[in-house]
Amino acid sequence: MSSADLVRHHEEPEEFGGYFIINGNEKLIRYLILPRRNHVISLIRPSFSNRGPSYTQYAVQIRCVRPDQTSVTNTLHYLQNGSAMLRFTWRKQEYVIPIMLVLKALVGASDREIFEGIMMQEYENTFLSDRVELLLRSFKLYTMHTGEQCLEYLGDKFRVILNLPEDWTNAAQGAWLIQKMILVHLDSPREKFRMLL
Amino acid sequence: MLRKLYATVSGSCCADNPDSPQHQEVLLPGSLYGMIIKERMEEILNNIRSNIATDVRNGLAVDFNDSEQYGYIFFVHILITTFRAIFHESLIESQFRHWFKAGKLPRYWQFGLSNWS
Repeated sequence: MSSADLVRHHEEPEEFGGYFIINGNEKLIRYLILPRRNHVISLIRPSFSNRGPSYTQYAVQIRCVRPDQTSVTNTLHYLQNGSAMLRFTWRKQEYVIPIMLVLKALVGASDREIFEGIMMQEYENTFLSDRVELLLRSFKLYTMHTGEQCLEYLGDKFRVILNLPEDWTNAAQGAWLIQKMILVHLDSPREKFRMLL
Repeated sequence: MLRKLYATVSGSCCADNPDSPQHQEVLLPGSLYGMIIKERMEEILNNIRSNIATDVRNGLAVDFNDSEQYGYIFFVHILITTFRAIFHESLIESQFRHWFKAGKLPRYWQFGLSNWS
């Protein structure tokens, strides 16, 4: 049946089911429950604070789905110093990178751009402005200013793990990492940037 | 996402309940096959790549100007790797068959998802 016919019969258009008969026995694939796709949920789990020094129980999580239905889960952890760490999984290993590094690497955003983007005109909210200030200040440790520098830094650190062609530049590797690991349901870096804010 | 994180911390946004159906979706069998096949294929291709990379690193020098020599080595490589890939592919098929029959996935397939059976 075509997709249109399937929909007419109230079936899933692109699904062919998990029902089999093997040696006369019925076998079916049980449906598993997953977190909803492309949807940010906030979590408070005491176990998050055991992840490392200065981690807190707060985090937001999103499960991003690629067009081929495979997914990547990105988690944003809140740290005690007001900044945040982005966590993703690659080849069954977890990695965390500072969110500022990602924001800068994505679009080469200026501090002002990030500040205005997060504040969204809500200047009287001092809690928020304090956190954003801390976030921006904490990144000064890294002494990286342009997006290109951030990409090079990322590529340099992840070169061994990514296992990409050895003649790629660090910046290219960093860009690949961001494209393949972070908010994979969005195409352009600008969209990813806006989503992260 | 950052705004939501800060809102959660300040208490102006309460924590979502990941157990509520509002934040869930169903993994359809078709997507599951897709995920598995994709991962297997990726592994095969990576194997092929790492084989070639090892040879290159071991000084299996390839003169790109000498079309005959390069062509020969490349031809042998393609042969070996294709045979391997075909072998692996039949492996995937038999693993799928085993999965449906026994209702259990091989341990090393269980990527990121809990509660398999």
